[in-house]
Amino acid sequence: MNIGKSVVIKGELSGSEDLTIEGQVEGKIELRQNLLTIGPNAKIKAQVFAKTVVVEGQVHGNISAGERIDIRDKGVVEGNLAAPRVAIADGAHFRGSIDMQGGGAAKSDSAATDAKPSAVPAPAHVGSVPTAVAR
Amino acid sequence: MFSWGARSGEKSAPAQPAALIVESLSASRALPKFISALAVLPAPTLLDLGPVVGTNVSFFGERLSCKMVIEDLYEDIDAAARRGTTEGLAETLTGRITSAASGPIDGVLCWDIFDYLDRPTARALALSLRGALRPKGVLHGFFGTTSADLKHRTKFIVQSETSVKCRCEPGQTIHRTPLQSGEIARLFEGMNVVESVLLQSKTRESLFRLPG
Repeated sequence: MNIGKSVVIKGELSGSEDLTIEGQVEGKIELRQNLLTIGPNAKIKAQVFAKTVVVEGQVHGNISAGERIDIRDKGVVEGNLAAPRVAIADGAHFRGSIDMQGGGAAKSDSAATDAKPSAVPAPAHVGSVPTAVAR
Repeated sequence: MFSWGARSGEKSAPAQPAALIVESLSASRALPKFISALAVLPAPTLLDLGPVVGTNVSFFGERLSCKMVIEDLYEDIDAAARRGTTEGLAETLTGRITSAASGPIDGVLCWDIFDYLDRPTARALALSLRGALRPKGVLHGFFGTTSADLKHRTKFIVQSETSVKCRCEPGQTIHRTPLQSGEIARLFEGMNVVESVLLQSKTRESLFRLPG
């Protein structure tokens, strides 16, 4: 499933299939059993929980993954990472902490407690159906 | 141009124009001791003041099972150089250390950050780092020993416990007035000098440890 670059989502986004985001998301993203790809055009201000997270765009917020976080060479992340495996490509921009000591998504509740407050606006909509605004 | 000269027997990339990336390999005497000091801790926290290097994250993660905090202070230094003033830089850098070090820090990788700072800013940063360290915490840094206009930033890519690849990339020009070894010691007053060695690249590599 893709979220196109003209789409803006404010609220909570969750699901049980792999997802690629090219648009903007503010709030919270949960795909605990799936792959989340944050595409080159994406701008995310959210807490992110997924099985695997690939970042090619911009993320401001904490990322927690059960398996792996992969920040590609054009990726920009400002926030804390928690995952058993973290890969950061040459050229990527990162500021924050990296915790590879335990599971990521499995510890998401505690990770949420540690989250940077500025990255987490109040959910506009709770559930699997996000509030979406096409521009 | 300032560069990390290779020791005899060390590989070095051929000379290239200043705008291009230049790499060299440098031996490290202090890094093994830095790692040893942290390896005895169950889950140390490491503060890295340089731009993020993915292979360093993997290296220290595997060796130390540590939590790493990346706080790239070079960005702020470059921004100050672009503005043409260091006014407020000390406050910015110490503020970043305060916010990055939400808990005690066991080890700090300073790389060559102090080469780009004037004396008052260097003192403020050193004080801030010392305050963030846990007792017995260690601090590693490189200090240039020659006066020079630095037109690059160096990315330090750890290859092994005893070797570091230095990759020079273009940056804002900043004049380096080198710190003498006595000044470096005073900068980290109250910490013990574990290692201080002058490398063939005319760079001093130092390791400090806070008493227990």
